[in-house]
Parts: sequence; C-alpha cells; structure tokens
Amino acid sequence: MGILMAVLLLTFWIIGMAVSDREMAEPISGPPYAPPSSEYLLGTDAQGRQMLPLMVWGVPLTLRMGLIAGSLGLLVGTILGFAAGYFGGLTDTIIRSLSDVVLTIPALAVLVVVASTISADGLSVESMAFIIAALAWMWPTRTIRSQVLSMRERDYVDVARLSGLNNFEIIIKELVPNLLPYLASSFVGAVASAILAAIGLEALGLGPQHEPTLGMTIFWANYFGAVISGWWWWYAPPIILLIWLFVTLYLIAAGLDQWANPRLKRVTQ
Amino acid sequence: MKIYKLSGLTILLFVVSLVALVACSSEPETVEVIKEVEVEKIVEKQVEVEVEKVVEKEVEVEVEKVVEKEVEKQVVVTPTPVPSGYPDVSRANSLIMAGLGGEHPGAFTDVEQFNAHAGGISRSGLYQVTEGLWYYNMLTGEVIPWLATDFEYDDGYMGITVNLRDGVEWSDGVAFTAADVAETINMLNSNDTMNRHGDVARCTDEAKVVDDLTVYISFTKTCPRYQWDLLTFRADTGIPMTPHHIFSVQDNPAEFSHYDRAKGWPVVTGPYNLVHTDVEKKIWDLRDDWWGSKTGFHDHPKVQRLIFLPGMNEITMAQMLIANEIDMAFSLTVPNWKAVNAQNDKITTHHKGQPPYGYLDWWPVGLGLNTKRAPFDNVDVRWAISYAINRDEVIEFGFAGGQVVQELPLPKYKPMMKYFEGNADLLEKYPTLEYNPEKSAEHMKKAGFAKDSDGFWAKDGERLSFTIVTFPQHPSTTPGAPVVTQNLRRNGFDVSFVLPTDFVTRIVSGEADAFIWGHAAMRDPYQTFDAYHCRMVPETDLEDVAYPGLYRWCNEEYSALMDQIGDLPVDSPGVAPLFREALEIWLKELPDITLNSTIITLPMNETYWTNWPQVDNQYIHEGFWHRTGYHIFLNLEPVN
Repeated sequence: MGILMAVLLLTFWIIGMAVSDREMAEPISGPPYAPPSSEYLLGTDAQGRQMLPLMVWGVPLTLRMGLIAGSLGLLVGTILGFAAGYFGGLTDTIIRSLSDVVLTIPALAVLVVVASTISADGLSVESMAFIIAALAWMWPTRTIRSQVLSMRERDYVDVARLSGLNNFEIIIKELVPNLLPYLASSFVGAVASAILAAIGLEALGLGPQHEPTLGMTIFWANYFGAVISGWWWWYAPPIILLIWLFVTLYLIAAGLDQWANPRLKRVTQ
Repeated sequence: MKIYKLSGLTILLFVVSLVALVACSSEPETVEVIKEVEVEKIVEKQVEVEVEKVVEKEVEVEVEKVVEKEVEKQVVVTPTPVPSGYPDVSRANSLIMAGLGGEHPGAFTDVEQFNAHAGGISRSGLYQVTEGLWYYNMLTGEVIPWLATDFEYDDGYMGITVNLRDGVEWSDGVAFTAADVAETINMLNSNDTMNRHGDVARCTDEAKVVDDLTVYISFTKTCPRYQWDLLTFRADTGIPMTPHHIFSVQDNPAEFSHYDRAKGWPVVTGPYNLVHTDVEKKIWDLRDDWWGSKTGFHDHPKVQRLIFLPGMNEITMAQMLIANEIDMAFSLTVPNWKAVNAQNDKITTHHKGQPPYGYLDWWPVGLGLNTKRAPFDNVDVRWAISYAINRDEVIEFGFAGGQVVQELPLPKYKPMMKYFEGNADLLEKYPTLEYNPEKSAEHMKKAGFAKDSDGFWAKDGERLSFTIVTFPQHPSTTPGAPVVTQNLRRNGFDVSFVLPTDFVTRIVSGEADAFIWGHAAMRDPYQTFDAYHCRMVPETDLEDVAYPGLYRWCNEEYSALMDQIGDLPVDSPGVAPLFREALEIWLKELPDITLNSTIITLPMNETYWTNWPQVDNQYIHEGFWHRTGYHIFLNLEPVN
C-alpha cells in the first residue's frame, strides 16, 4: 500500500513537472486570491502563486530536505551507534551520555535559534536540511547501539573474530549486512521526522523564504490569514499532501519493519 | 519501534490539525449568497439536535443551570488579564493594545528599563505618558502646546526661550519646572552614550533655568528647527523630559533604569502609573491626582487601565480582535481586516471600513541599498534596480491595494504637497516609479554587466546576488518583499529575501546589502532627506550608522544644500528652492528606491470604547505606540 501511494505521488509529480514550470509556483505568476477554477485548478494565493504548480514543485523540495536531513542524521547515528555498541567501554559511555543529554534538549527551540541566526543571506533547502540533521542523529544512535549490543554477542561474530577478522571488518562484513533491513526502515522514519521538523520551522517563517516548499506555503497562508478568511484552497492542498506523504512513509516503514523483524511478521500473521 | 510510533503520531497530529483548520475556517468571501443560506439551515438543524439531546439526557435541574449560565454571561464582565495583587479593573474600563509598532516580537525585552533615553526601549507606555512640551497632529497640521505654552528664538536663531505651563506636577507630586527641561537637555548633551545625544549635541550649547517656568537654551550654531526637531512630540520624535530631582542624583544616568516599584518609579507627568511589567505585558493604571484635571487643563481620562502587549503575529491579533480580547492592534493587511470585520462588526478603522481603510502614516517605504558597497555604489545599478520593479504589482500582489505608490519618500500630507507639485518636472525627468525592463537592462550593460547562462546579471564572471532584509511582520514592508524580489529576479537580478528578527541590527551594521525600510517626515522634506547627508556615512561599508543614515551615500554638494535647509525654520518659504536643487542631485543619483506608502489599517474596537480618532474626528492619528498615542488615551469615551 505504501509503495502504491508513493507511486501515485511520483506520478502526480512527474505529470505536474511535465505540464508546469517553476515560475508558475512563484509570486505574480497568476492573479492574487483567485479561487479554484478551470484556469487555476487549485487557485492562487495572495501574491499570485499558483497553488497546483506550487504543490508540484513543493513536494520534491520538501522531500529533498527530508532525504538530506534524514540521511545525514541516520549516517551519523549509524556510525556512533556502531561505535558505542560494538566497542563499549569509555566510547559507549561518552556516546551514550552525549546522545542522552542532547535528547533532553527541546529540538525545536534549538532549531529555531539556529535557523534564525545561521545565515545572513537566507536559508537554502540544503542549509535547512543540515540544520535539521544536526539534531536528527540521537535516536538512530540509541536504537542502533542497542541492536549492535545484541548482535555482537552472536555466535557468528565470535566465529568471525576467531577467523582473524579485525573489528572494522567484523562491523562491515558481518554486522552491517545483518542490520540493513533495520537501517532501511529506520531511514524512512528518519526522513519523516526530518520533514516534520522542517515543516515546523518553515511554518514559523524560519525556512527558505524564497523557495516554494510546502512548509513555506503554510507560513504564507498563515501570514495572510487564509484560515480566518476561508481561503481553504491555500492551506488544504499542502496539508493533504503532507498527510499523504507521511502516511506513505509510515506504511513503507511499517512494511520494512516487518521484513526486518521476523517476529513482528509472525505476530501480524 | 519508537520511530514508527513517532510517524504514527505525526499522522494523527496532521489529521487533527486538518480537521481543526477546516472546522475553524469561515466561508470564503467568494462564496455565493445561496450557499450562505444553506449554512444557516445547517446551523438551525444542529441547534435542534442539541435541544433534543438535552431533553432526552438531562434532567430539568440541568436545563436550569444552562439558563443561569446564559444570564451570567450577559452580566459578568471579564476581568483584564493581570496578575494577582493589583486592583481589579474591569475589561470594559481597560484599553488593551497589541502588537506595538511591530517591535519586541513575542516578548518585551525591556521589562525593568524605564529610562526614556536608554536604548531598546519599547513603545509601551513610557513615551506616551511622559508628556511632551508640544504635540503635532500630522493629519491636520495642528500644533498642540502641552507642558510648554510658547517659545521664542533669539535673533539669528542662536538660542530659544521656552515658557512652561504653570501647575504641572510629576506623578510623585514634585512640581515640573524649568530645571527638569534644562537637566534633560544638558544630560543628553553631555552624555554620548544616551539616545538622542547626537541630535541634541548638534546644536545645543547649554540649557539654563531663567525661573521656574522659563528655560533658555543657547546654541552653538544657527538652529531654527530646534523647537520642531527636539521639543515637539510627533510620532516617534521629540525628547521626553526626565525628572530632575531623580536623574540629577544618579552617578550614571545612562545606566539608570528609572524602575523601582517601591519608590513609585518611573515618575511621569501623565495620568497613569506603571503597576506591572513582565515579558508579556505592561500595565499602567489611572491615578486621581493628575495635574491636567486638577488645573482644569484637560478632562480626567476615562480609560482606567492601559495594557500593552508586545509585537505579535497578525493572525493572533486578528483572532483577539474577533474575540474582543483587545481594543487596538498594530496594522492589519486589508484582507485580514475584512475577515476580522466580517466576524466582528464592532471593529472599525480610520476611514470607517471604507477604502483606503487606514490612516496615512509618516513612513513611506523604499528599497534601501548599502551604497558604500559595490556594485550599489554605481548609480546605473541603482537606476537599473528601480526600473526593474513594477510598483503596481507590488501594490496589487503585496498589499491587495491597501497601499499607494510614492514618487518620493515623503508622505503626502498637506504641507508636503508643494514639494511634489513644485517638482513635477523633475519627477518626469527622473521617473522614480517607472517600470521599464529595457531601460533596466541598458543601465546594467552601461555598468558593465552581462547576463550569464542562467539569465542573471554578472560581471567579470561573478553573478550579482544579494538578499533583501526587512521586518518579519510589518504591514507595509513584509508583504511587498516577495513581490519586489520576484520582479527583480524576472529582470535578471539574483535576489532573495529574508525576514529575520535581528533585521535592525543587520541594516544598521551594514551587513544587509539591501533592505526595505521607511522614511520619516511631516511638515517639510528636511527630516527625510537629511538622512542622505555625508555626515551620516561611516568610513567603510561594514560599520554601524546612526539612524536614519542607513543609505551610506555621500554627495558634498547635496550635503551643503541640506545644511542650508537645516539653517531655515521648518515652515520657511526658502526651503522649497533649496530642496529643488538637492532633489535634482538626489534623483540623478537615486541613493534610495521608492516603493510604496505606509497606510496603517489599524483596527479599533467599538465594543468598549468610542470617540476613536477617525477621518471625521482626527484629533490625533491612531498609532498608539507613538508618543502622540497619549491623546487617544485622554479622549476615549466608554461605551457604557
């Protein structure tokens, strides 16, 4: 089901890209405040952005932010998780303490401060992703560490060690392949979390203000009072698309989780 | 697993959000009348169903309770949101103002700072209830003597004698005298760390007490604008007087907070005392012993409590207005004002809900450039940028028609019109409002630029990229920023915009290449056009400037003309010919690019208060954050 929803989203994007150009998603490309019509299928906003092209171009930008931030967060979390779980001792203590401490800090507050001060020239989609990634590594670190703690005691790891493989080889050749399904499902979850963080920042006006992302669309809808004025075509499309995106990612992650966790599969069967 | 649980929660949150949004939203303005009728029918059905449920499920006692609540709702007046420990003043007797002039967004940062001459002071009561010697009504041109009665310059404008009103007292009972005026002027003149030191020191030699009600101020140079520039309260301008008996005994008045609740500080001459201050609100309560009503100078105010809330999101203000939680708010965009008025018809504006809705503010807006920095030091680049902006689109798409275009950075008040009309030929020769992409391209080519492969202007292989900085929430700058940016991008300028909370710092420090900012003038062009004087310009492009010298542009001939204008009284007929000469240089060089007016669509709530300043009753303009906002507090009448 998740794959099917992803395919439908992809189809929407491909067809949309084929029939619209980026300029239609930018200000003064249509009349201001136009409701949905045959000419402007999803209407326009106060500044003349056409909502349908805005959705077409906004989804990949939002996804790109999530993918970059999720990938970086998971990559850092994986490295730290493997280091802490496999080597244990002082390394584990330092990494575990660090991630536990950072987890207690309210991420949104930190992100708001960082996003509002980090760039004098305005945030790009990429710099926004880096900011989010800076606080997206702790959960992967903890969960992967716990997986590695369990795996390193397995017989096949002992056999590999007796066979003369060094620590690095054991991690790369024995542990990582066994953890790949789990990493894959974690990746999808990390992307979803990163998108959620990005939307939160953007809705506060701290995103890449010139880019037609879904979060910035919500920001401008809020700024111009779309809800109290009843301009539903302005805020409903990005929210529906975000719901679609999150449900898609959730279903994909759930499917991957079943694949990664045979016991879960038996329960659901 | 945790991550999946988070994702599930996320989805749930979004579904709930969507439902809430749809539930909260009203019908769009474009809905036909037939649909509105249908909505009414639905409401009636819902009421019937609820009544049926009550009958079926509730006993009679419960029904009686409901009736009691209804009665209570009609008679109970919601108390104002103040902390415990202060007198209870009803909502109906309180004036609640939200948003200031856009500053201190989210929270006050000057909680215990009430020194009117310290930096970073919010416009949340202190400036208003510290009364002025004179006031100027910018909408009518009326000068209102207040703490002073009259003045006289020496021959040659080398000094001024100011006569003060008899019977004025500070809030601690001490008489307001010439010593207070002299102390304030001399303190600012000698203390270069205090606000407005530069303005005072420019002319002031020394202020001397002649007698209790007479002060004489000698000048170091000819200064025929002193009374207007420094002693008259208008919008944000004018020196607030400080109590001599308190400030003169401070070791360092610049670091003195003038806040001590036990001592009754801050001390002011207005009829309100500070009773509470925190990051969320400042509260001033009416006192009975105001000099104005004791001497019969003015009726005692009816507003018993003033509550100032900090800068906030426009939608938050709109919702508070709909719910009658506030009486005034910082300007709304026209669509938001219409939405508020549709849901609460007690909310009105300067033009009583008719276009142009709000009052014309003294602050027309322009696109400023750091002209000390290349390539903005090139006049062709500046004109190219001006020609690349379609002002009509800025008005239509940025402000929904709620602003008008401005040929010059001057508000079109009556005394100012002669400077527009007398220079119409210059404005035709240098068309500051013209949108002409071809001319824009010509100027860029003349400046040595050519378009790169992406269609953006570049020189020596380097693309001209810059960022426009402006307010995160200002009705005459923020909505225009995306439109100006898009105009420039369409014409080959690689531009983006940001709305940072530290926008003032970025502009003043020179960090910002370009910024959307306003200009201030009321009676003649001097105050605005003096901002382009060479004395304002620092050595490099990255040094702090004193406001209003944000443009960092210098032309010696122009500055000499400004000096000559500055040596004339504010209403002198000699200003016009000198201004024309200066204007021609300014237009040719275009150090600043005009955009639009600032019309403040300030919502005023008639639920609890009447006699608002409106088009047929312009006793003052309604900018409550300005020093002149004081007159609103004095003149409002309670509905009940």
